[in-house]
Amino acid sequence: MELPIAESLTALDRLVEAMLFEAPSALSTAVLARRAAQGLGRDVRPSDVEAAVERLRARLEGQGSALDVFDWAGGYRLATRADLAATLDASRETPVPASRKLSPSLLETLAVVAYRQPVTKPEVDFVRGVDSDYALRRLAELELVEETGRADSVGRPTLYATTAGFLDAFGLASLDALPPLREIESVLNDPAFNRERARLLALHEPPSDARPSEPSDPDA
Amino acid sequence: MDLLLFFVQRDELDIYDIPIAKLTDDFLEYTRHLTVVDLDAAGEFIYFAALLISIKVRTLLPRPDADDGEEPVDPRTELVERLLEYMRFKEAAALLREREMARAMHAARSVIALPVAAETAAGTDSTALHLSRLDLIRALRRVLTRLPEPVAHTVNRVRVSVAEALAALRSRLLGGEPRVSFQRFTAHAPRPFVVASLLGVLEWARRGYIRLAPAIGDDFLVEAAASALPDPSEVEPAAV
Repeated sequence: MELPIAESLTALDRLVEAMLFEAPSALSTAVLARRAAQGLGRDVRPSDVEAAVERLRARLEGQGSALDVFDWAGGYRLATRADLAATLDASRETPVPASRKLSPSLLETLAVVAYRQPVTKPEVDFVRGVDSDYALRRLAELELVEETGRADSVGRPTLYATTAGFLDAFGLASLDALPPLREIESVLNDPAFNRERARLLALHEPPSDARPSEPSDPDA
Repeated sequence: MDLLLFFVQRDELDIYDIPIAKLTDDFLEYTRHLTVVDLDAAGEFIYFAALLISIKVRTLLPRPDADDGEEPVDPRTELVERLLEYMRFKEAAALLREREMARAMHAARSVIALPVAAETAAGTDSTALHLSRLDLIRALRRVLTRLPEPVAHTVNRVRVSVAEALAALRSRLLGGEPRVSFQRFTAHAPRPFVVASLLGVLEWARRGYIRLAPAIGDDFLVEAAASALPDPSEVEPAAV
């Protein structure tokens, strides 16, 4: 009953699942297609891979599997579902340190690099107001940040950018998936700064459009 | 910037109307504590304090270009802009933290060490302590300010010469007080004065310038034996 075509699709399905299972990092559609073609000894189009991944997703979902395919770092990764996190953590013989988080200063530095990349160390220093030498070196060690070249400005300072590992570690499909940086106005809209808002806007802009919302707001 | 933001938020400062002088004081106070720990960081703090001071100076100086048609720019504008920019990235860091936490809910095969795993492996397992350098400085500051100052009294040595003590006694005796109670004479005086006075009195009594009379308790009275008392500076000075 099974046609050879269907058989080979199944072979692709299984190979894609196996490659995703084995891979320590995200695999892009292009990589999956190339490796599948090599493994199966025939042409595999990226769209075939995408279809296979979708079928795998549906299959895992249908089985109620602990695993799911995630779109991270410009590719696919097989990983456990979030609802398992608590029991999985509890099951570990050597518990993972309560918080496996980056320190605030590393995270802050990483944020500047992520949103401003490619960026030089002096630029990072300027935003943070402190020397970021250690933070950048540490982030590079953690393979979250890498040197991507040198700026054309005086002294040709090193340019830093985030890595694929960064996208993976933060569960981002691509840099476009970064949560948008709030606009200055939005920061000022914060209740904490409401009082100063009108006057501050007046500092930057003509006073005419500086305070449209304030007086009209009955709650203000 | 972190400390600056901390001060602004702690004191609920009007970000438009930052009291530069007070901020500078706060900065310098932290810097004093910091120099104990980390000279590099102290350098950054001093840089900021200097920046604040330069802003203060510019607010105080008359603006030479005030009447060339341009809107006078508040020197604090740059600081406000930097502060706001920094706040944006601090927020971005918080957003990344959320993503990080969400991602940590999913376990995937990892041959390359996860950032965290690497950090733990490197022996810098900070467990639950996720403190910025600023937090550490704050903590240090608390400790340092709470610690009682070592009890160290500066002892100023009071030098009183016998001549000075006698001069004082002489002016009392010649000033219409026929008898002077030694205790009253030396009451509330520093110890060296008491000693010098005693030496002086004994010397003068030996030479017959004054007479001593017993009084109640430990006291004794001093009265002039001659109508004129010698100038105490004649007595060879014996400083105590």
